[in-house]
Parts: sequence; structure tokens; C-alpha cells
Amino acid sequence: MSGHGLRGGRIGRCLALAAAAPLVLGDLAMAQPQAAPPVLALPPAAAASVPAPPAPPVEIPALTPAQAQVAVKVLRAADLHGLQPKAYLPDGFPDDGQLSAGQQATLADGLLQYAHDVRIGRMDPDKFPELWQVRPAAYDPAPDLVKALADGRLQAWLDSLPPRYSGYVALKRGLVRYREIAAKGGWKTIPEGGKMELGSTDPRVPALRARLAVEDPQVVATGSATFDRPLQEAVIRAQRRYGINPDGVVGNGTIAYLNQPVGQRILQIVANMERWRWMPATMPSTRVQVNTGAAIVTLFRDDKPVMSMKAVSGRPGDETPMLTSAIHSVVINPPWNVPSGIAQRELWPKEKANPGYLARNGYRIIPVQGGQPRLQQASGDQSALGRFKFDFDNPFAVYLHDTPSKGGFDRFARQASHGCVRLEKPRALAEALLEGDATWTTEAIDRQLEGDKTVRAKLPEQVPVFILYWTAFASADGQMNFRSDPYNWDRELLQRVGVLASGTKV
Amino acid sequence: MFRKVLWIAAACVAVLVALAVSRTLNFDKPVEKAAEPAAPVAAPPQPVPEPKAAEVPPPPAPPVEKTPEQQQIDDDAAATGMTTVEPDPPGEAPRD
Repeated sequence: MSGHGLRGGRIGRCLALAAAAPLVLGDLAMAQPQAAPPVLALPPAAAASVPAPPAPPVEIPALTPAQAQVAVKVLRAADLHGLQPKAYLPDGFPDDGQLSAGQQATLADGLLQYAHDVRIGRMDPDKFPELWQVRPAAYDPAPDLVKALADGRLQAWLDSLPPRYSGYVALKRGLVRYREIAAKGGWKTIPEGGKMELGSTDPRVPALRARLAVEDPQVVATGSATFDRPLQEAVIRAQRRYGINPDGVVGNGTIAYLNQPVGQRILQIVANMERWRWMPATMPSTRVQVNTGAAIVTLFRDDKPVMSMKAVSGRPGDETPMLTSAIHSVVINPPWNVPSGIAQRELWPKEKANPGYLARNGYRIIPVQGGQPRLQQASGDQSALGRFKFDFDNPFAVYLHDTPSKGGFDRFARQASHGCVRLEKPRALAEALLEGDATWTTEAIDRQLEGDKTVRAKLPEQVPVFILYWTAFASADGQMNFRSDPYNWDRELLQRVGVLASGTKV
Repeated sequence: MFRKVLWIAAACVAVLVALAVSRTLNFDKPVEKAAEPAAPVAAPPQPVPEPKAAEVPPPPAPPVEKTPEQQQIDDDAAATGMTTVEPDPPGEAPRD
């Protein structure tokens, strides 16, 4: 999708702070230890790594009949991982383990392809869009296959290949369940119409009950045409699963979510399973995770979620990139160096239409020799970055930050920023990240916030940050949750790996 | 004569003493039945064994009630990608 390439306006869309840091931060580099802080282990930056020279071809030994049977069984079950068995094994392939030389070669090729796909996904490494910076390291399964065959541990090796994360395993279970639903005919659509809510009687209520019962085991599929309390509670649960306003009222918006065909949900699960394969094999125990698809941020500590909050992520057209990096500092009272694109498109027109707009909103014009003047909004309560900014290195100049526009967090579709991630509780995150730093106690932060002076607080330990994009995930009770694919990246991914283009039923 | 009186008094005293002694010996107590011959000693019955506690799985620990805040954090963690790792299956996988 050409629109997702690294466009000129993308870099620095939020803030070209890196270049301007000396200007705005000056001597406020702040009472921090000068030694470089330790960096928590990050996954290898596969995207930036120099490709290794191609390894010499490895000859795959012939599989024993028992190994061949194991291999055929696993490849035929590739659909459990959202993969297509036909991509690895032709129809009619013998499953008795008695193979000709040609069949041995076919099976070995299928095993190698499957091992590659189930471990790091089907995306061509050269065809990742620029904004999809979470990418797997290259993987050549041939040496591992040879070793597994020699050790007589083919099954164990094949079992070790898929992601081990709970999120992936839950999607795998969800895929089985939604395929079962599809095999039974899926669900019937509910006609649009007036609102259905507690106490109302509507001929569509029985259809609503039946529809909710397909996904929610707590719902009884049959019942009267009166919208009763249990049905209202079921509607609220469904609305939560779809990330829409859980008001218990069924309008056409809720009906649109309910009417998404089961095949669409299956495709969403498959797309998200594919993304899980891009994740590193292990995660640092302390980390910040962002899901831009649901606009949620979670802080993990000791591998457990300890804090979460709503976020506002990039709007369609200004998508927040998927990336991994490490937060190295918190800027308290950050100014906003307005990217030129935003200045030209949004601020200068406002100034022209309403002279004095810039001055009233704390912007100052910084002349640039031989170029367009820059705009900088002073730190303080009206700063677009609020009171906190969390800096991490990345090629898109995006970061996490506070916002004076708190109302954005009350919305349920929160893709509204220029690409940065606005945080609902930035102060809490800042205190959590600065915990253990004797300089930045709660009182010290309070004192800093009494004024507008900009200060950069380096973290005692850099904290890895993962900006991800999930539109299907299971909650703790195993129920599948779906989001609306606000960036249309599910479809793009499925097209890139050939699931949609091939017309194969998934 | 005096000697006869003394003998009579002594006799009375003897009778009274004998009466008193007989009362202390509780001669009017009903005769106890002779003990029946003891039954052959049998081995004491073994107590009925109680169900072994070890065979019954301990009752599951009551589920820890999550606070609404922790529940929200867990739900949000699922939304941001549950990156905790599934535990290894027990034991070593069989060889092919």
C-alpha cells in the first residue's frame, strides 16, 4: 500500500525535538547521573541488521516412515495456526510414511516452508511497509530440521516453532472456535431499525438473542421479544468485546458490529496471529506496550501488567507506526516544536483566518535563515504535549505524551492524533518509570509542575516500549475481542501474505 | 453377785462391739454374682480406615477477588498483547 510508505511529512509529524533539543532545553539537562543508563535487553533490531551472507545449502536427510507420518500430520494441521496446509503439502500426499525419493523432497520442502512461516510469518522481509517496524529476525530452518531429524525429535521441534505467548495461544483457540461457528452456518444478520433497549419490545429481539448466544455462552438463545435485563447485560458484554460504548442500547452502530460475518472475524484472527510471529521470542520483564488499534497502553513490570490507561493513537492517514524502542527520558513541561506540515496545514491557516491565534495559544515564531519560520508552542498547560513527554529513539519522531485535550479519552474510537500516542495518565506513568530515582521523587515532580520550566529526567533504566497493532485478542475469560481495524492493516497484511488475493477460504 | 454383773456387762459390751464390727463389714450387702468365665480374647477390631486425605484433591483455593482496577489492567493487558509466556508442557517430549 503506497500510502503507508515513509512519506516526507511523516518524520517529525509530532515533533522534531531531536534537532531542536538544544534550543528548547538549553542548560536544563537536569541533575541526572551522567553515565549512560543501563538499557534493558531489547530484541535484535532485525530491520536494521545487515543481512548475513547466505548459508551453504543444507541437505535434508530422508525422513524415516515414523518421521514422515509426524511431518504429514503437522503440515495437514497447519490451519490451526491460520496457515494453509495446501501451501506445504499437495493433496493426496501419502500419510503412511512410505515415500518415494520425490515425495521425500516434497515433504522436506514443505517442512522447511512451514517451519519458516509458523515461526516468523509469511511476509516477505523486503515488503514490509515502512510503518511496520516490528519485524522478525531472519530464520533459516534447515539446520534445525536436520538436527531434529538426527535427534529423533521432529515433533518436539515442530511444536517449539510457533509463538509461545499467551496472546497467540488464545488466538489459536479462538480460531478453532470461530471456525466451528462458521461450520455451523455462522450467525444471521439483524435488520437495522430503531434502537432496542431495556423494556422495549421489538420483533428483532429474538434474532438479537440468537446472535449474541453464538459468541456468549451466558446468553440463552431463545426468549421473548421483550428486551429484558439479562439481554441488556449480554449486549453490554458484547459492546465491551467490540470496544464500543457499553451502554446496553442496540442501535445501528452496535448492529453493524454484530453483523460482521464470522468469516471476517476469522480473517482478523489470522492476521493477528501473523503479527504475533513478528514479535521477539522473549520480552523484557519491564516494558511498555501500546496497542494503537485499541488505543490502550499497559506497563508490565516483572512480566506482569501493573498499570494501564487509555490512549489516543494516530488517526487514519497519520497512523502510529508499529515499532520497538526504549524510553530513555521523561521531559517535564515540554514545549512543542510544531512540524512544518502541521504548521502549514493547520496553524498558519488559523492565524490567517483569525489573526493573533498563534500568540493567544502560546506559539512563537522562530525565524529560520533561508527557510520557512518554525513554530514553537511554549510549555505549560496549553502545550499540545501537556506536562509530560516520554522520549524514545525512532525514525518517525513519535513519542508518548500528555495532552490538554482530556476529552479524547472519553471516546471509544481513539485514533485521532498526528501519529504520537497521547496518554490518559502520564503522571502515573512518569512516576512509575522514574521510581527508584532519588532525584525525581513525587515531591520533586510536584515542584517542577508548579512552573513551566522544561526539564529532562533521564530514566535510571531505559524501559523498552513496544508499539503494536492488535485488532483481535482474547480476554482473560477466553472470549474473543475485536476492534475495527482502524488503519486497515489487517486487510493489507492478508493481501500481502496472499490470503485474500488467493481467494482461499480461511 | 457383783462378779455376775460384771460378766453380764462385759458380755453386753462384747455383743455391742461385735454388732458394731459387723456393721462395718457391711454384711447386708447383696452378694455379687460370680464373674463369668472370660471370653476368649479376640483381636480388637481394626478401626474403619477413613478415606485417605491424600487421595482427595485439596479443595481449590478460593479465587482471589480482583479489584475493579486490577481487572481493568488485566483486560487492558490482553488488549495490548498478552506477552506472558505459556508454561512448558510437563516432561520431555517423546522422541519420534
